[in-house]
Amino acid sequence: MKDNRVFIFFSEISNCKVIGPKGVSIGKLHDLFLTSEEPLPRVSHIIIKKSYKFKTFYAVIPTQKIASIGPPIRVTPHEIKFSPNQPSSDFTVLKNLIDKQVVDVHERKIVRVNDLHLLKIDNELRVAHVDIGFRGIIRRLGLQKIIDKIIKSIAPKSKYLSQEKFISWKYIQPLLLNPALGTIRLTVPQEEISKIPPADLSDMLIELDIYDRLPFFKSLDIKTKADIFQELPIEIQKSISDSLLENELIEIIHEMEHDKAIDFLKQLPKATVKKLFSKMDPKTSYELSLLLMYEENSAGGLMTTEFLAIDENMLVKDCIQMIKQSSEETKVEEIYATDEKKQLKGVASLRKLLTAKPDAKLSSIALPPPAFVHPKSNFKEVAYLMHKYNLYMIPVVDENKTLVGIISIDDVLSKFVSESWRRSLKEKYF
Amino acid sequence: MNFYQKIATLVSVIGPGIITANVNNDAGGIAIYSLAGAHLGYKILWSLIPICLMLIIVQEMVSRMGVISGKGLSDLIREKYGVRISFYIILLLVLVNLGNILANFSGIAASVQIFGMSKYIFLPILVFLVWLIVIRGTYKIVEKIFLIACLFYVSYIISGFLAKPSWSEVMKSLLIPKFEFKLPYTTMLLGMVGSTIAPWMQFYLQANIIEKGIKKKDVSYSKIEVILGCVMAIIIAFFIIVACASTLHKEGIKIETADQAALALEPLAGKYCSTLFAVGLLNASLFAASILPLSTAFCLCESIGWEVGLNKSFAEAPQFYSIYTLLIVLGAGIVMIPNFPLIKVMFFSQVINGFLLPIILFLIIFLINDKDIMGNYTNSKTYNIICHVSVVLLGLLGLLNILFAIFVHS
Repeated sequence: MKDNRVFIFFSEISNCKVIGPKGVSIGKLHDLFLTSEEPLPRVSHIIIKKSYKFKTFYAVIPTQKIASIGPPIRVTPHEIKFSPNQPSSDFTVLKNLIDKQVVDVHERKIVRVNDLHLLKIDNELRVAHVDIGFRGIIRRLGLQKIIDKIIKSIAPKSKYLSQEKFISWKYIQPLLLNPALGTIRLTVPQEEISKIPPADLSDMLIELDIYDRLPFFKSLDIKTKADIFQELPIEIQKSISDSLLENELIEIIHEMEHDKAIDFLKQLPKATVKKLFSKMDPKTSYELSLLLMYEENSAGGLMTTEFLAIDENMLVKDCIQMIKQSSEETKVEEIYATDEKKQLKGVASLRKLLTAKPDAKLSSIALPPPAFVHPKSNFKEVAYLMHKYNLYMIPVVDENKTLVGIISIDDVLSKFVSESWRRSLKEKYF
Repeated sequence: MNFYQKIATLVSVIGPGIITANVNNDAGGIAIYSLAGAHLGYKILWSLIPICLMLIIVQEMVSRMGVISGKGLSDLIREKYGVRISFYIILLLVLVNLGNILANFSGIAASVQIFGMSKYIFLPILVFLVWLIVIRGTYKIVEKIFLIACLFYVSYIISGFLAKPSWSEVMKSLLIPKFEFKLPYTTMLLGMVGSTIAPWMQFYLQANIIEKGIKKKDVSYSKIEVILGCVMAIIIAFFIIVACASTLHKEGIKIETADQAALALEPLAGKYCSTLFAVGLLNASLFAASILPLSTAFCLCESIGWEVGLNKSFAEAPQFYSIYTLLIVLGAGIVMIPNFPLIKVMFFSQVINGFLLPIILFLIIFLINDKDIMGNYTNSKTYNIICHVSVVLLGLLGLLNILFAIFVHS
């Protein structure tokens, strides 16, 4: 009976009979070699295995020689060479997909592949979906018919029967390790990965096995690396930084937000930090070393130096230009007006700047700051003031009223989330 | 590294090995040791040394696998041997664990009754407390609580001394093997081996090692910690056997459960001995009752691919929470049914245990010798020989266990 189905599961053809040109069975289907083609990987070769006198032999057959995919599979190659050595390739179904963990960039999770949903066009096979559902496991065990019957009789409307847990291949990033570079060959475009919020990416990274984690981290671009690194718990930061080269680590620290970089550097031995500083860009290392002096729970420990302090006599249109040219890490929700001595004179919100006359002076629209703190102020005081005055950012000034930093609301929030919530959100149990 | 740095590293890896080995001295384990001491006297003490060595070998391999591969045992089995084998193994594991959970809940109920409290009131209360601590605690806090719970096992050591054994006889029996091919002897021996080297412990230990995040360079410290844990557990077993042998066996008192042992000790060795024994039983049962349902739920859900983790809400991980709660409710509920054939059920779980143990051990040996997984940390040739011999012996014992369990207790 000719099989007209368009889709077929790997579990249906795995270990099925392969019939050779002479019409007799030559072995069983063992594995499929894939080429990563856009948009769906194509099966390039099938691997057949047969047992003879307690030994297993393997043969490789290109897909052009497939006459029909049954099961059983009929092939018509010119010659078939069996060898006791397992043929290897860097992208195979058994080695990289079946029962292995892969990254689901759509749901932002690490999932384990139970079965593959293959698209059949003529005799060409492509990987269309990855099956991560329980039903996939049941199918691999060969119990699909029985379990389906049982569930149908108990709960005919059950989700188990109607909803397959498939993930389309375009969202799947398999962990194809390149051992020489220690990176993963990315099949999902870097832009897709960058769209995932760093907090979710870092969660995924934590879920990966320790030795998949580093290659995956290394395959990302520097911006994503820094974004993720900031969100990782300190033990994982340390474990990753242990395996990075010094200049790789310095690159990441440069890209990180200053306050997050300080949180990380504080956990390292002083000698290491000194060495890193000596190799860093002097401006960055100077700013970081200043921030390092402050205690963790003080305003100084929370603040960042990435803000805009603009001379109060500057025109609004020039201020807006400065905002446009500032780097992504600089917090621009509030602009601080200072005098020649860098003392804090006023603050203007972004909205005020955008709605003011372009030729007006900053001093004319900047209002005196409703609140400010000192570097030694306690973080609870900071939180209280920000709450009282409904502030997103609060300036930090020293004894001379010089503006030394700002604290933004997300840093204060993270202090409270870790202090008052007993159960840390990222701890896995057993 | 200087001496103090070495000690600091050792302390930093403490946790998994010690907790795992001691949690295995649960109600079931204590029962076996008590029975062994009561029915056979000192004769069986020599077996503790080879059992200890085998336990160390198995636990060392498992912890090495955890540190080097960074993956859990069920993940390694699935990735290497496919979903079929790993699924059926996990299923068997769940059944065995259910039996173990029953044993421990009944241990709680029984020890509570020794103190004169009604099991119908206190079992639900204690179980609820256990459920609460586990659901609400963080790993670090619970690990600390468990490590402190391990200290309570000292009560057995004190019991052992209070029972005033004849130490010369004890030492003789410890060092000179005396094997009997009689039925009660071999059954007891098999029971001791099976309950000391439990399959579920290997999954739990490896998962714990990974959770702790022990680095490759500290793998030798992890080995030391695991060995310490095994030795601790065997020492406790030793004292339990000694306590029961020097009192119950001498008077020829037959017992069937651990709580009967605690009660029977009182007229012979005094109230303190008896109380300490009961306290030890309560501690061990609570301890195991906290860990077993959780570990089982974790293993099962992870191998199927359902969401796991106490950091997830019920809506995010419904199967995990349901299975965990179901195991606890089933365990406590079944134990409270009057006249439930508890001992039969526990023996049945021993049968499956005996079936599962050699399989798991074979798999562990193949995995530990796989260069893809272990790199340079595979077994040396001599170690492999020792391992293979141990595993074959354990396998034979396991099979005999099944046969005896079927024919002796049916």
